Amino acid sequence: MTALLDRPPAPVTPPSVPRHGRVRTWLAQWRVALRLARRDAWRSKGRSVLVLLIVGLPVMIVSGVILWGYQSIAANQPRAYAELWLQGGADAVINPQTGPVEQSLYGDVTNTLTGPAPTEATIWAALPEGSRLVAMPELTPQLILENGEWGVTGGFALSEMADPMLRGYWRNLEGTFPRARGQVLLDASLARRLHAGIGSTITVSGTGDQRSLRRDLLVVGTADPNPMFWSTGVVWPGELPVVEAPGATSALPPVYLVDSPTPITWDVVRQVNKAGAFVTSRAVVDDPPTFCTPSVVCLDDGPAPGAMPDMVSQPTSPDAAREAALGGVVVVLVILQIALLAGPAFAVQLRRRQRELGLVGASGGDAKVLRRTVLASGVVLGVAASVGGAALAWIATAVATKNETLLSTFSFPGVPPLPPFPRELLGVIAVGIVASIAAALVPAVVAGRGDVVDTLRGRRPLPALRRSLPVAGLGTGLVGLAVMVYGVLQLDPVILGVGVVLGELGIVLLMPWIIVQTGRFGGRLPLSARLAVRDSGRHRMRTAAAACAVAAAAAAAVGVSAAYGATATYATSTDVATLPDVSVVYLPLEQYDETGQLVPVDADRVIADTRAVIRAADPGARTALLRDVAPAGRPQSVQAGAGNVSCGPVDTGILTDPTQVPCAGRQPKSYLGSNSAVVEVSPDDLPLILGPTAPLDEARAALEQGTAVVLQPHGVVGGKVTLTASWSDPETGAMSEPRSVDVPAIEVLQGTLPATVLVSEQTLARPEVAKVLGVGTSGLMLAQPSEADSPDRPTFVERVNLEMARAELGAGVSEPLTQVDQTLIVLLAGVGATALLALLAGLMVTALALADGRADHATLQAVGAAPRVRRRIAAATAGYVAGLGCLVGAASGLIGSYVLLPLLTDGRGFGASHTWSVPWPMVGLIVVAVPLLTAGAAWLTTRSRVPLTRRMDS
Amino acid sequence: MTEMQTAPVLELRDVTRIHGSGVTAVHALRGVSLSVCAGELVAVMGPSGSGKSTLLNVAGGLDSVTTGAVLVEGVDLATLSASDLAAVRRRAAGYVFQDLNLIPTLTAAENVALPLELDGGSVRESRRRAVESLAAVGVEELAARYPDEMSGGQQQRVAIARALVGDRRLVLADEPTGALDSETGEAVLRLLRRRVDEGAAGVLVTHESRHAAWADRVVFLRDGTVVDSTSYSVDADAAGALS
Repeated sequence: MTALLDRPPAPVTPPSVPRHGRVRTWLAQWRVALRLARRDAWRSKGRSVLVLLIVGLPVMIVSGVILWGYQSIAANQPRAYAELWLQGGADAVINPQTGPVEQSLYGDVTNTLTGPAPTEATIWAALPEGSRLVAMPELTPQLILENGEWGVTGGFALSEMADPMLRGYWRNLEGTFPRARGQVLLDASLARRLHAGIGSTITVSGTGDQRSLRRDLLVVGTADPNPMFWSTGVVWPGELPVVEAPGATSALPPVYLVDSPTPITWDVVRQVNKAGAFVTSRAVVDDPPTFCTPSVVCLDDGPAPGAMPDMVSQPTSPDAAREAALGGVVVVLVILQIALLAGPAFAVQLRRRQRELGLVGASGGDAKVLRRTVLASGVVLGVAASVGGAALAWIATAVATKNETLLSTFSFPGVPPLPPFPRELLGVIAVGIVASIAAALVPAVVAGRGDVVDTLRGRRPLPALRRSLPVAGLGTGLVGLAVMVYGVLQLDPVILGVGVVLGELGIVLLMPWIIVQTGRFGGRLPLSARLAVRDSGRHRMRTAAAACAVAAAAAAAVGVSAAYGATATYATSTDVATLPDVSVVYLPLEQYDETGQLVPVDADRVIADTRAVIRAADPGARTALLRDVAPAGRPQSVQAGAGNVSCGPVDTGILTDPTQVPCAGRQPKSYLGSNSAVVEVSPDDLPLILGPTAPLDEARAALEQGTAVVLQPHGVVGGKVTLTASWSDPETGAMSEPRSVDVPAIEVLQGTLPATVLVSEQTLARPEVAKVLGVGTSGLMLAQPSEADSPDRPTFVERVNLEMARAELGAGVSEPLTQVDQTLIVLLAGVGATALLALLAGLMVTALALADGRADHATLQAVGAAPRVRRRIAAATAGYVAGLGCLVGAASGLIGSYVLLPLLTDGRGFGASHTWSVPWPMVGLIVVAVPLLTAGAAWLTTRSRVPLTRRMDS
Repeated sequence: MTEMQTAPVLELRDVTRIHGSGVTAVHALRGVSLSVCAGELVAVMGPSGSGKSTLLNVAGGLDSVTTGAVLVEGVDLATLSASDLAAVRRRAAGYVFQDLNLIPTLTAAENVALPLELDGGSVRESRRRAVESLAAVGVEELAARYPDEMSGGQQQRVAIARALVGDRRLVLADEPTGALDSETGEAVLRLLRRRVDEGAAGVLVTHESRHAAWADRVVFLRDGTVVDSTSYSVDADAAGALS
């Protein structure tokens, strides 16, 4: 190497001028930072795994939800239904029609044209030579199946099931298919409901014309049927009467299965179309032609003229913007939570890499380089965690979709494979990376401000607490609270979310000050606790981050518990859906003939028959009738409310349109179905409709006088409610001018139904009302059994369904709307999550404190401190961090739940505050048990001795 | 002793450094003046708390002065921002510490190349120059090793290579042999001496006179003040024999 003296001095480059250009220098410095971060992550595997879990788990869960959503969406796509049809193994499934047809690729969109009807010969001729046609079996009508006192309704296919294409529609076969008359294969779920198994004998009886039918059949097998098989069991041909299957023509079977020696290509499909049948072809499903998109009618080589392209719904701009804003708020909250959880890990890392950072500084790294060195850790771990989490979710979803048991929740097998990489995952990955970088942000800032000399010598002078910080924290928190209240009053979730974010930021800014203040009491504590509190105060960054993470979890746990308690209390006192064992019976007041025309129905007879059926199933059952009120004449909708305010059905507790009056917080189901917000009820039925705590006498008296009972706030103005009816012309679809009528009304804010106005026969009889309103053609009945179901006899719903089948009533009955008391679940989940986070944060901080205080512990040991002193200090540190976080979190959670109360209790304003109370069990567990648990864990995992070594000069 | 360049590489002019204020003020340096030229090795000695390390810190811009001026290659450090001071450390001055000199997650070559890369140099060019610098200190074969795969002496050699990589002409060594055995320490000092003889300027903080014997001049500090300054005329081998 040339001696330095032999070389001319290098040209002086002013220090302020980047020698290699700004961009290149920037890139080079980031390159160094990423290299250091990568290798440090590899060396500190334990800490890296922790951050990977904190960041990666939420990414994995959200990615999994998105991917599962893709699957559930895909399960409802035409291709999924096509796969269902082809599940038996047929090369194609053919549905004969009344003439030539046109169809989409998967047969979900069809046109039937004028022309000759198909015959089996013409269909056969259109298929490849050597094809085999197998007709789907004939079906029985719905029959009553009984096994002792257990009874259900069901229909059977009549077939020897010799062909494998038919057998392919049944999975998980146990036993055999019927081999002779007198035998039956049952749907496995039906068999369970009947409490029948292989070897049982069930009795099959008929209704209506088949009333005299009665057979005893031996159950020889059970299996799970493909829903396209249209039956719940199989019997031998001729065993039971046949009903005409729902096909387009009676000349041919409704469905043929095709076994072909060559693929049924789109050309063949078109030939069969011209012969007069729709085709679902395996070859087309697997390899659809590219000249047509799914769900448009497709001809020989392109879409049919005038075929509409797949419509993509365009949300209205205001809704889209609002949803985007709400999504943005949620994303910020998620990032904040992850950053708080992962922050202590990066704080630990900063302390451990202090010497390294000092060397970087001594080698010419300025503050920016030091910040980048720390931030790079956030980038490296964030990318690894997020990409890894998303990839794991993809793999798990792909594996799960092969699992039939898991798929049975929403689909039969045959759901298309996962898309290679949904775009939404990119967003999730980006959020994870940003969150990880955010977690490293504060340590990075601290690193940049550090003194290189102190860093090299291992000195960490106590930084002064900036006075502006607690002021900013308090201010931000109060502003956040105000914004939350405003958001609740405006029923705007975006504003509410912004308030939550600000509130959380306020706590983050305030926490260092809280730590300093609590540290003042350290002097009064025993030695171990004193050391722990003061040391935690000296190292505010790590303590504050950990305490904030715990506080966030505690706030959520306490807040959810308080809110749940309030809504449960409110719902129990008001919501009919929480009355035990109330079922909903859907009345067949709308019936159609074969041409699809509405036929008149004797509604009173149907209602009377339904009540009779229910009483036949349970003589002591209570019933209550709710009939939709519709505009007199042509039905459309009736809205209720004051002025221009409308009350529409909502399915969440949070309304997105501030002009909508809140009228339904917990809507059990949208079972009322229609657009009407007004229902006719009988005063005698009020106890079942409104529930036990409503002012029944007042409501009954009002209805008997023809006064309406309004169940929404702000609906009654000046003692009246305005009902507005609108019509549409059934042929032109044009809307008429709406007409309104004012009805005397009272407000009853207990006993809430999703509907908003109850009227009686007397109300509708008022002349001015009768001109505008009439009784609609839909309705339902609430039914409550006289005693609770028990496992040793058929349920109330099963008995009613059986009686309905016998009476051929055609009504549908829902399962009871009983709400599961989830209080214990909420409690355990909340405490569990908080405890886990407290343990995580507390133990991390404790480990750091022990490492930092190694010299002090050595001194304690040298001056004669007992070994357990070190453990006590560790336990006190962990307990202090967890306790601080839990206290702050519990307080903020209680405040937050009270602010959210109106939103959670039907928007009745703060007048519903009587239902709010402090969830003492949850608070006690969070504030006392969790810190104790954390302290105990620290005690157990801490070594009692530290090797005496030469003290580092400080 | 090689002929020294006339323009000092490092110059301290009446430098005072006070830590804190009021009753807790600590005068780490009081009116210290010192100049070091290329080809000159200056040892700084003194008892604990005499300001030796502070002198080294202000020399490389790691610490600022209260009064006075520090010039490196003619540039007054007081006129520079924090970023510019970092640039001085990348381009002009290199540090060697007593121990824990190297970043454990970087190889020897990467440690040496660090100042060059932080200055925007390409990976290839920086590595090439780093290997050159390692070769100059006789540890080229350690280029791909990590610090925990080297002995203490080897690590110090690498640290010296880093201190002088590229165009740096000023090495600031703070007790570089403190964590080494005597034989290894001698080897490190011999290396440092050679680099200075090749044209670098060096400041060596030590509290052992046998190590100071390697220097051209010894400056004695007490309570932040230069109390004595002695020139040596004994050559390096003789200095080694004395130890």
